[in-house]
Amino acid sequence: MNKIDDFGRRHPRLALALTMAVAVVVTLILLGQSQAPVVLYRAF
Amino acid sequence: MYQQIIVSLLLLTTMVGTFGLIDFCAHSRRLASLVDSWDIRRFVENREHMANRGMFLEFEDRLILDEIPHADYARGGVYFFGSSPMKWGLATWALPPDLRRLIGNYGIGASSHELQYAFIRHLVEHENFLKAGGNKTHVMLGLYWSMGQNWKSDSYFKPLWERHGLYTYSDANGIQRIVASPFLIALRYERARCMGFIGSNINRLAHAAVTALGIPLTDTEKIQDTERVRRWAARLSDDGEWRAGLDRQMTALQRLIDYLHQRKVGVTVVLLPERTPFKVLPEPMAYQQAVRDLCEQRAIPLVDLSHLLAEDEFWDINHSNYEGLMKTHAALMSLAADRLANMGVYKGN
Repeated sequence: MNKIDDFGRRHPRLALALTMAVAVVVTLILLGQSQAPVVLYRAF
Repeated sequence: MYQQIIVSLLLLTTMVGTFGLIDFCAHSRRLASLVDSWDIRRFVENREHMANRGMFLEFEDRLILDEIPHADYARGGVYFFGSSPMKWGLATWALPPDLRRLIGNYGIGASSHELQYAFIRHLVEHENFLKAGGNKTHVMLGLYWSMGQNWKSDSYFKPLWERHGLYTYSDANGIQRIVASPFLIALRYERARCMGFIGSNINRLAHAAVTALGIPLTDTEKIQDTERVRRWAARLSDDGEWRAGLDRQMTALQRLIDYLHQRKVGVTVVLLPERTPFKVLPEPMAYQQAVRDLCEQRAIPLVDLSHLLAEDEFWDINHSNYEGLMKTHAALMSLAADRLANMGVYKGN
Protein backbone atom coordinates (compact mmCIF):
# COMPACT_ATOMS: atom_id res chain seq x y z
CA MET A 1 0.00 0.00 0.00
CA ASN A 2 2.90 2.33 0.87
CA LYS A 3 4.38 1.78 -2.57
CA ILE A 4 1.10 2.79 -4.18
CA ASP A 5 0.97 5.90 -1.98
CA ASP A 6 4.52 6.79 -2.94
CA PHE A 7 3.70 6.29 -6.60
CA GLY A 8 0.67 8.58 -6.23
CA ARG A 9 2.72 11.31 -4.56
CA ARG A 10 5.48 11.16 -7.16
CA HIS A 11 3.18 10.86 -10.22
CA PRO A 12 -0.23 12.31 -9.23
CA ARG A 13 -1.49 12.83 -12.79
CA LEU A 14 -0.44 9.38 -13.92
CA ALA A 15 -2.08 7.84 -10.84
CA LEU A 16 -5.29 9.74 -11.59
CA ALA A 17 -5.22 8.66 -15.24
CA LEU A 18 -4.71 5.02 -14.22
CA THR A 19 -7.61 5.25 -11.76
CA MET A 20 -9.86 6.59 -14.51
CA ALA A 21 -8.71 3.84 -16.86
CA VAL A 22 -9.69 1.29 -14.23
CA ALA A 23 -13.08 3.02 -13.97
CA VAL A 24 -13.54 2.65 -17.74
CA VAL A 25 -12.66 -1.06 -17.60
CA VAL A 26 -14.95 -1.62 -14.61
CA THR A 27 -17.82 0.12 -16.47
CA LEU A 28 -17.28 -2.08 -19.52
CA ILE A 29 -17.25 -5.18 -17.31
CA LEU A 30 -20.44 -4.04 -15.57
CA LEU A 31 -22.12 -3.44 -18.93
CA GLY A 32 -21.02 -6.78 -20.26
CA GLN A 33 -21.46 -8.91 -17.16
CA SER A 34 -25.04 -10.00 -17.84
CA GLN A 35 -24.32 -10.54 -21.51
CA ALA A 36 -25.83 -13.73 -22.85
CA PRO A 37 -23.27 -16.42 -23.56
CA VAL A 38 -21.66 -16.12 -26.96
CA VAL A 39 -23.52 -18.59 -29.13
CA LEU A 40 -21.35 -19.97 -31.88
CA TYR A 41 -23.94 -22.28 -33.27
CA ARG A 42 -27.49 -23.43 -32.81
CA ALA A 43 -28.83 -26.03 -35.20
CA PHE A 44 -32.25 -24.41 -35.70
CA MET B 1 -11.51 16.06 1.75
CA TYR B 2 -11.99 18.48 -1.13
CA GLN B 3 -9.64 16.41 -3.32
CA GLN B 4 -11.49 13.21 -2.47
CA ILE B 5 -14.79 14.71 -3.60
CA ILE B 6 -13.21 15.88 -6.85
CA VAL B 7 -11.72 12.45 -7.53
CA SER B 8 -15.02 10.72 -6.71
CA LEU B 9 -16.88 13.03 -9.08
CA LEU B 10 -14.26 12.41 -11.75
CA LEU B 11 -14.70 8.65 -11.31
CA LEU B 12 -18.47 8.97 -11.57
CA THR B 13 -18.15 11.16 -14.66
CA THR B 14 -15.77 8.67 -16.27
CA MET B 15 -18.17 5.78 -15.66
CA VAL B 16 -21.23 7.68 -16.89
CA GLY B 17 -19.21 8.99 -19.84
CA THR B 18 -18.10 5.47 -20.78
CA PHE B 19 -21.71 4.28 -20.64
CA GLY B 20 -22.76 7.28 -22.75
CA LEU B 21 -20.03 6.74 -25.33
CA ILE B 22 -20.80 3.02 -25.71
CA ASP B 23 -24.51 3.83 -25.92
CA PHE B 24 -23.84 6.45 -28.60
CA CYS B 25 -21.84 3.91 -30.63
CA ALA B 26 -24.56 1.28 -30.12
CA HIS B 27 -27.12 3.68 -31.62
CA SER B 28 -24.92 4.86 -34.48
CA ARG B 29 -26.51 4.06 -37.84
CA ARG B 30 -23.17 4.75 -39.50
CA LEU B 31 -21.35 2.19 -37.38
CA ALA B 32 -24.20 -0.31 -37.84
CA SER B 33 -23.96 0.16 -41.59
CA LEU B 34 -20.18 -0.43 -41.45
CA VAL B 35 -20.46 -3.69 -39.50
CA ASP B 36 -23.35 -4.86 -41.71
CA SER B 37 -21.16 -4.26 -44.79
CA TRP B 38 -18.38 -6.27 -43.14
CA ASP B 39 -20.79 -9.14 -42.32
CA ILE B 40 -22.33 -9.13 -45.81
CA ARG B 41 -18.93 -9.12 -47.51
CA ARG B 42 -17.79 -12.13 -45.48
CA PHE B 43 -21.06 -13.92 -46.30
CA VAL B 44 -20.81 -13.20 -50.04
CA GLU B 45 -17.22 -14.46 -49.97
CA ASN B 46 -18.45 -17.66 -48.29
CA ARG B 47 -16.23 -17.10 -45.25
CA GLU B 48 -18.89 -16.83 -42.56
CA HIS B 49 -22.64 -17.12 -42.25
CA MET B 50 -24.54 -13.81 -42.14
CA ALA B 51 -26.32 -13.52 -38.80
CA ASN B 52 -28.11 -10.27 -39.76
CA ARG B 53 -27.74 -9.02 -36.20
CA GLY B 54 -26.46 -5.47 -36.58
CA MET B 55 -25.05 -4.18 -33.28
CA PHE B 56 -26.65 -6.98 -31.27
CA LEU B 57 -25.33 -10.34 -30.24
CA GLU B 58 -28.05 -12.20 -32.13
CA PHE B 59 -30.71 -11.67 -34.77
CA GLU B 60 -33.40 -12.13 -32.12
CA ASP B 61 -31.96 -9.45 -29.84
CA ARG B 62 -32.02 -7.00 -32.75
CA LEU B 63 -35.61 -8.00 -33.44
CA ILE B 64 -36.81 -7.61 -29.84
CA LEU B 65 -34.77 -4.56 -28.83
CA ASP B 66 -34.78 -2.58 -32.07
CA GLU B 67 -37.02 -3.74 -34.89
CA ILE B 68 -40.26 -4.39 -33.00
CA PRO B 69 -40.11 -1.28 -30.74
CA HIS B 70 -39.55 0.89 -33.84
CA ALA B 71 -42.04 -0.87 -36.13
CA ASP B 72 -44.88 1.18 -37.57
CA TYR B 73 -47.89 -1.10 -37.76
CA ALA B 74 -50.24 1.70 -38.81
CA ARG B 75 -49.76 1.09 -42.53
CA GLY B 76 -50.01 -2.69 -42.40
CA GLY B 77 -47.53 -5.00 -44.07
CA VAL B 78 -46.32 -8.55 -44.56
CA TYR B 79 -44.64 -10.30 -41.64
CA PHE B 80 -42.70 -13.54 -41.82
CA PHE B 81 -42.66 -15.92 -38.86
CA GLY B 82 -40.72 -19.12 -38.39
CA SER B 83 -37.58 -20.57 -36.88
CA SER B 84 -33.95 -20.08 -37.96
CA PRO B 85 -34.39 -21.15 -41.63
CA MET B 86 -36.92 -18.29 -41.81
CA LYS B 87 -34.88 -15.68 -39.95
CA TRP B 88 -31.97 -16.42 -42.28
CA GLY B 89 -34.20 -16.76 -45.35
CA LEU B 90 -34.64 -13.07 -46.17
CA ALA B 91 -32.05 -10.46 -47.09
CA THR B 92 -33.99 -7.61 -45.51
CA TRP B 93 -30.89 -5.39 -45.64
CA ALA B 94 -31.26 -5.32 -49.44
CA LEU B 95 -34.82 -3.95 -49.37
CA PRO B 96 -35.46 -0.32 -50.29
CA PRO B 97 -36.42 1.71 -47.18
CA ASP B 98 -40.07 2.24 -48.16
CA LEU B 99 -40.56 -1.50 -48.64
CA ARG B 100 -38.47 -2.38 -45.55
CA ARG B 101 -41.03 -0.54 -43.40
CA LEU B 102 -43.74 -2.92 -44.65
CA ILE B 103 -41.81 -6.20 -44.41
CA GLY B 104 -40.91 -7.81 -41.11
CA ASN B 105 -38.72 -10.86 -40.66
CA TYR B 106 -39.85 -12.10 -37.26
CA GLY B 107 -38.13 -15.47 -37.25
CA ILE B 108 -36.97 -16.81 -33.88
CA GLY B 109 -34.53 -19.70 -33.70
CA ALA B 110 -35.26 -22.96 -31.88
CA SER B 111 -39.00 -22.30 -31.80
CA SER B 112 -42.03 -24.52 -32.23
CA HIS B 113 -45.57 -23.62 -33.28
CA GLU B 114 -46.55 -23.26 -29.62
CA LEU B 115 -43.80 -20.70 -29.06
CA GLN B 116 -44.62 -18.91 -32.31
CA TYR B 117 -48.25 -18.71 -31.19
CA ALA B 118 -47.14 -17.07 -27.92
CA PHE B 119 -45.02 -14.60 -29.90
CA ILE B 120 -47.87 -13.64 -32.26
CA ARG B 121 -50.29 -13.23 -29.35
CA HIS B 122 -47.80 -10.95 -27.66
CA LEU B 123 -47.48 -8.82 -30.80
CA VAL B 124 -51.25 -8.58 -31.25
CA GLU B 125 -52.17 -8.04 -27.61
CA HIS B 126 -49.26 -5.88 -26.41
CA GLU B 127 -47.52 -4.35 -29.44
CA ASN B 128 -50.52 -3.20 -31.50
CA PHE B 129 -49.46 -5.47 -34.35
CA LEU B 130 -52.86 -5.17 -36.04
CA LYS B 131 -53.08 -1.39 -35.78
CA ALA B 132 -53.80 -1.11 -39.51
CA GLY B 133 -56.46 -3.82 -39.24
CA GLY B 134 -56.35 -7.48 -40.07
CA ASN B 135 -57.17 -6.82 -43.72
CA LYS B 136 -53.96 -4.75 -44.08
CA THR B 137 -51.68 -7.23 -42.35
CA HIS B 138 -50.57 -10.50 -43.81
CA VAL B 139 -48.76 -13.26 -41.96
CA MET B 140 -46.39 -15.56 -43.83
CA LEU B 141 -45.61 -18.70 -41.89
CA GLY B 142 -42.20 -19.89 -43.08
CA LEU B 143 -42.34 -23.49 -41.92
CA TYR B 144 -39.58 -26.00 -41.39
CA TRP B 145 -39.97 -29.54 -40.08
CA SER B 146 -38.14 -28.77 -36.82
CA MET B 147 -41.05 -26.53 -35.76
CA GLY B 148 -43.06 -29.71 -35.27
CA GLN B 149 -40.79 -30.68 -32.38
CA ASN B 150 -41.60 -29.91 -28.75
CA TRP B 151 -38.93 -27.27 -28.12
CA LYS B 152 -38.70 -26.60 -24.42
CA SER B 153 -39.08 -22.88 -23.80
CA ASP B 154 -36.24 -23.05 -21.24
CA SER B 155 -33.78 -24.03 -23.96
CA TYR B 156 -33.82 -20.67 -25.72
CA PHE B 157 -37.15 -18.86 -26.07
CA LYS B 158 -37.65 -18.00 -22.40
CA PRO B 159 -34.02 -16.90 -21.71
CA LEU B 160 -34.13 -14.85 -24.90
CA TRP B 161 -37.12 -12.81 -23.72
CA GLU B 162 -35.96 -12.56 -20.12
CA ARG B 163 -32.23 -11.89 -20.56
CA HIS B 164 -32.43 -8.09 -20.38
CA GLY B 165 -35.01 -7.76 -17.60
CA LEU B 166 -37.64 -6.32 -19.95
CA TYR B 167 -40.02 -9.27 -20.40
CA THR B 168 -41.03 -12.46 -18.69
CA TYR B 169 -42.15 -15.65 -20.35
CA SER B 170 -44.08 -18.62 -19.02
CA ASP B 171 -45.93 -21.34 -20.91
CA ALA B 172 -49.10 -20.38 -19.02
CA ASN B 173 -48.99 -16.59 -19.43
CA GLY B 174 -46.91 -16.16 -22.54
CA ILE B 175 -44.72 -13.08 -23.04
CA GLN B 176 -45.37 -10.24 -20.61
CA ARG B 177 -43.69 -6.89 -20.25
CA ILE B 178 -41.98 -6.21 -16.93
CA VAL B 179 -43.85 -3.66 -14.84
CA ALA B 180 -41.33 -1.03 -13.70
CA SER B 181 -40.78 2.70 -13.83
CA PRO B 182 -40.27 4.16 -17.33
CA PHE B 183 -36.78 5.30 -16.25
CA LEU B 184 -35.75 1.78 -15.22
CA ILE B 185 -37.17 0.30 -18.44
CA ALA B 186 -35.32 2.91 -20.54
CA LEU B 187 -32.10 2.22 -18.60
CA ARG B 188 -32.43 -1.53 -19.21
CA TYR B 189 -33.00 -0.95 -22.94
CA GLU B 190 -29.86 1.17 -23.15
CA ARG B 191 -27.85 -1.29 -21.07
CA ALA B 192 -29.02 -4.09 -23.39
CA ARG B 193 -27.92 -2.07 -26.43
CA CYS B 194 -24.51 -1.46 -24.83
CA MET B 195 -24.19 -5.16 -24.04
CA GLY B 196 -25.09 -5.94 -27.65
CA PHE B 197 -22.52 -3.50 -28.99
CA ILE B 198 -19.73 -4.89 -26.82
CA GLY B 199 -20.76 -8.55 -27.18
CA SER B 200 -21.47 -8.54 -30.93
CA ASN B 201 -18.22 -6.85 -31.83
CA ILE B 202 -16.11 -9.08 -29.58
CA ASN B 203 -17.97 -12.03 -31.10
CA ARG B 204 -17.38 -10.65 -34.61
CA LEU B 205 -13.64 -10.33 -33.99
CA ALA B 206 -13.51 -13.81 -32.43
CA HIS B 207 -15.26 -15.26 -35.49
CA ALA B 208 -12.85 -13.47 -37.83
CA ALA B 209 -9.84 -14.77 -35.87
CA VAL B 210 -11.13 -18.35 -35.75
CA THR B 211 -12.04 -18.46 -39.46
CA ALA B 212 -8.67 -16.86 -40.36
CA LEU B 213 -7.02 -19.85 -38.69
CA GLY B 214 -9.10 -22.14 -40.88
CA ILE B 215 -11.09 -23.50 -37.94
CA PRO B 216 -14.80 -24.07 -38.72
CA LEU B 217 -17.19 -22.16 -36.45
CA THR B 218 -19.87 -24.81 -36.60
CA ASP B 219 -20.11 -28.57 -37.00
CA THR B 220 -21.93 -28.66 -40.31
CA GLU B 221 -20.80 -25.56 -42.17
CA LYS B 222 -19.99 -26.09 -45.85
CA ILE B 223 -20.62 -29.82 -45.66
CA GLN B 224 -21.24 -31.26 -49.11
CA ASP B 225 -20.30 -34.90 -48.69
CA THR B 226 -23.59 -36.73 -49.31
CA GLU B 227 -23.03 -39.38 -46.66
CA ARG B 228 -22.04 -36.80 -44.03
CA VAL B 229 -25.10 -34.68 -44.80
CA ARG B 230 -27.31 -37.77 -44.56
CA ARG B 231 -25.83 -38.71 -41.17
CA TRP B 232 -26.34 -35.20 -39.80
CA ALA B 233 -29.92 -35.07 -41.07
CA ALA B 234 -30.65 -38.42 -39.44
CA ARG B 235 -29.04 -37.27 -36.19
CA LEU B 236 -31.15 -34.10 -36.01
CA SER B 237 -34.40 -35.98 -36.49
CA ASP B 238 -33.66 -39.07 -34.43
CA ASP B 239 -36.22 -38.37 -31.70
CA GLY B 240 -38.16 -41.58 -31.20
CA GLU B 241 -41.04 -39.67 -29.55
CA TRP B 242 -41.55 -37.26 -32.44
CA ARG B 243 -45.13 -38.32 -33.24
CA ALA B 244 -46.61 -37.02 -29.96
CA GLY B 245 -44.67 -33.77 -30.36
CA LEU B 246 -45.86 -33.34 -33.91
CA ASP B 247 -49.52 -33.83 -32.96
CA ARG B 248 -49.19 -31.24 -30.21
CA GLN B 249 -47.46 -28.73 -32.46
CA MET B 250 -49.99 -29.19 -35.27
CA THR B 251 -52.76 -28.41 -32.77
CA ALA B 252 -50.84 -25.23 -31.86
CA LEU B 253 -50.50 -24.33 -35.54
CA GLN B 254 -54.25 -24.75 -36.02
CA ARG B 255 -54.92 -22.51 -33.02
CA LEU B 256 -52.45 -19.93 -34.31
CA ILE B 257 -54.14 -19.84 -37.73
CA ASP B 258 -57.62 -19.68 -36.19
CA TYR B 259 -56.47 -16.83 -33.94
CA LEU B 260 -55.29 -14.85 -36.97
CA HIS B 261 -58.33 -15.67 -39.09
CA GLN B 262 -60.66 -14.52 -36.28
CA ARG B 263 -58.92 -11.14 -36.63
CA LYS B 264 -59.27 -11.13 -40.44
CA VAL B 265 -55.52 -11.56 -40.93
CA GLY B 266 -54.55 -13.29 -44.16
CA VAL B 267 -52.19 -16.24 -43.74
CA THR B 268 -49.92 -17.92 -46.26
CA VAL B 269 -47.91 -21.02 -45.45
CA VAL B 270 -44.50 -21.48 -47.07
CA LEU B 271 -42.48 -24.67 -46.77
CA LEU B 272 -38.88 -23.48 -46.66
CA PRO B 273 -35.95 -25.10 -48.49
CA GLU B 274 -34.43 -28.18 -46.89
CA ARG B 275 -31.53 -30.42 -47.77
CA THR B 276 -32.21 -33.55 -49.80
CA PRO B 277 -31.73 -36.19 -47.05
CA PHE B 278 -34.52 -34.67 -44.95
CA LYS B 279 -37.02 -35.40 -47.72
CA VAL B 280 -36.93 -39.14 -47.03
CA LEU B 281 -36.80 -39.09 -43.21
CA PRO B 282 -40.02 -40.04 -41.38
CA GLU B 283 -40.33 -36.97 -39.16
CA PRO B 284 -39.80 -34.25 -41.80
CA MET B 285 -42.06 -36.17 -44.22
CA ALA B 286 -44.83 -36.52 -41.61
CA TYR B 287 -44.52 -32.83 -40.72
CA GLN B 288 -44.89 -31.70 -44.33
CA GLN B 289 -47.86 -34.00 -44.86
CA ALA B 290 -49.56 -32.69 -41.71
CA VAL B 291 -49.03 -29.10 -42.90
CA ARG B 292 -50.43 -29.93 -46.34
CA ASP B 293 -53.50 -31.58 -44.78
CA LEU B 294 -54.12 -28.60 -42.51
CA CYS B 295 -53.78 -26.10 -45.35
CA GLU B 296 -56.19 -28.11 -47.45
CA GLN B 297 -58.75 -28.32 -44.61
CA ARG B 298 -58.57 -24.58 -43.87
CA ALA B 299 -58.17 -23.46 -47.51
CA ILE B 300 -54.86 -21.75 -46.69
CA PRO B 301 -52.52 -20.94 -49.58
CA LEU B 302 -49.49 -23.22 -49.42
CA VAL B 303 -46.28 -22.48 -51.30
CA ASP B 304 -43.76 -25.29 -51.38
CA LEU B 305 -40.18 -24.01 -51.62
CA SER B 306 -38.71 -27.09 -49.98
CA HIS B 307 -37.09 -28.15 -53.29
CA LEU B 308 -35.98 -24.65 -54.28
CA LEU B 309 -32.27 -24.99 -53.47
CA ALA B 310 -29.57 -27.29 -54.76
CA GLU B 311 -27.30 -28.96 -52.21
CA ASP B 312 -24.45 -26.55 -52.94
CA GLU B 313 -26.71 -23.62 -52.06
CA PHE B 314 -26.74 -24.49 -48.36
CA TRP B 315 -24.28 -23.07 -45.84
CA ASP B 316 -24.85 -25.81 -43.27
CA ILE B 317 -27.32 -28.58 -42.54
CA ASN B 318 -30.31 -26.23 -42.27
CA HIS B 319 -29.41 -22.78 -43.62
CA SER B 320 -28.66 -21.41 -47.06
CA ASN B 321 -25.47 -19.76 -48.25
CA TYR B 322 -25.45 -16.45 -50.11
CA GLU B 323 -26.56 -17.93 -53.45
CA GLY B 324 -29.30 -19.91 -51.72
CA LEU B 325 -30.42 -16.90 -49.74
CA MET B 326 -30.75 -14.80 -52.88
CA LYS B 327 -33.05 -17.42 -54.42
CA THR B 328 -35.15 -17.85 -51.26
CA HIS B 329 -35.33 -14.09 -50.76
CA ALA B 330 -36.51 -13.55 -54.35
CA ALA B 331 -39.21 -16.20 -54.02
CA LEU B 332 -40.47 -14.89 -50.66
CA MET B 333 -40.37 -11.27 -51.77
CA SER B 334 -42.37 -12.13 -54.86
CA LEU B 335 -45.07 -13.55 -52.57
CA ALA B 336 -44.85 -10.54 -50.25
CA ALA B 337 -45.13 -8.05 -53.11
CA ASP B 338 -48.22 -9.87 -54.35
CA ARG B 339 -49.86 -9.76 -50.88
CA LEU B 340 -48.96 -6.10 -50.37
CA ALA B 341 -50.50 -5.19 -53.72
CA ASN B 342 -53.66 -7.22 -53.00
CA MET B 343 -54.11 -5.43 -49.67
CA GLY B 344 -53.52 -2.05 -51.34
CA VAL B 345 -50.64 -1.36 -48.95
CA TYR B 346 -47.83 -1.04 -51.52
CA LYS B 347 -48.01 -0.91 -55.26
CA GLY B 348 -44.28 -0.90 -55.99
CA ASN B 349 -42.38 1.47 -58.17
